[in-house]
Amino acid sequence: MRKNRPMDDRTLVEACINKNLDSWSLLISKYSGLVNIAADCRLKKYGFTLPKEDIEDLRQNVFTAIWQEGKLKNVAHLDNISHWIAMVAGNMAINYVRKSSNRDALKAVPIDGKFKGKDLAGLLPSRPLRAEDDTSEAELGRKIDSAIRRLPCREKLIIKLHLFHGKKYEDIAEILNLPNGTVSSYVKRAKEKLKVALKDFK
Amino acid sequence: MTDTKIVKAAHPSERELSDYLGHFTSGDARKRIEEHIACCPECLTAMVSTYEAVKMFKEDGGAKKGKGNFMKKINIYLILATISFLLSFAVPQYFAQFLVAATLLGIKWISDAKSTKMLVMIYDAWKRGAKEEMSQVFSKIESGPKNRL
Repeated sequence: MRKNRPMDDRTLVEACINKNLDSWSLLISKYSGLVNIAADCRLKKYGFTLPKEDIEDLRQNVFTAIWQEGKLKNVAHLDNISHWIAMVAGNMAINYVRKSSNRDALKAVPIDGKFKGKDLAGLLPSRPLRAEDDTSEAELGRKIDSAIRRLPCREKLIIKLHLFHGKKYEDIAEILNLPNGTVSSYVKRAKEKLKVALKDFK
Repeated sequence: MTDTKIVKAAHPSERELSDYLGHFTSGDARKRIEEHIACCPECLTAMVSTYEAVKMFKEDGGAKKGKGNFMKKINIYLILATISFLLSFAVPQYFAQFLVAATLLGIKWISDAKSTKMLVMIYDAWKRGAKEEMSQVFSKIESGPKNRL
């Protein structure tokens, strides 16, 4: 193997599938950063973060699992390894958190109890509670859900990416492999339909 | 198909979702995946977070930077250990000191190169062809860092 010519992903993965340890070392060094980022991104979507030591554990688990289970053989397009590694890392991060028993967030704390040494009541945001506020918010949520569910598949997908995940038109176009113009027309159309569905809501 | 039925149908695999993101999917397969992720919040979140992670990684020049830093770290300790070892013979009056320095730097190199360590353990177990040892090695790797707590 010539050291001065950078290896493309296809050649690298093929060598790893053949259990070449040099290539394996290269794969780990090349994509360790991506595993960290992917795990972090996925967990943040659910409001979790992991301490540095746990991220290190997780990274070892990811590469160990890929090696042990021969997962690289399942990759159909060897040029697309980064998306696959990020997907695997994200899924394993979720499983890691589910299995972990040291999450404070999962332990129930009574309302008059303490959380991390502070009174819980003092930590909660205070605002005047009105039953009608809660009811109308829940009602609005249900109406929006129902209106979105009635949209055609592609409009539903695009509007969810735009409204729920905060994605810009360029990002949506990149994810769904569509032109920017198509994405913006879908968004416009979907918003019009949502306006009509919600026009009677006060 | 109603939303509930679509979600209850099998979730696309890691391979299918990553191929979709890489624009390798077309036709019926593409339609099936889009129908699913439009109704399944979990799969849509997986898709979006994967896209964001890869984008962030590429924008950071992640692959190149990671490799560079990693190789740099390995080489510095290894080079210093080698130099110390050679100096221990070149400067006999400081033989013991240079030898100790070479040993410490060598240990630092091995302990820092976690992937190298893992590889050596995996390769050793694999070479002996013992599946049982392999699972012991992996459980050692998995249980090892928890001892820090």
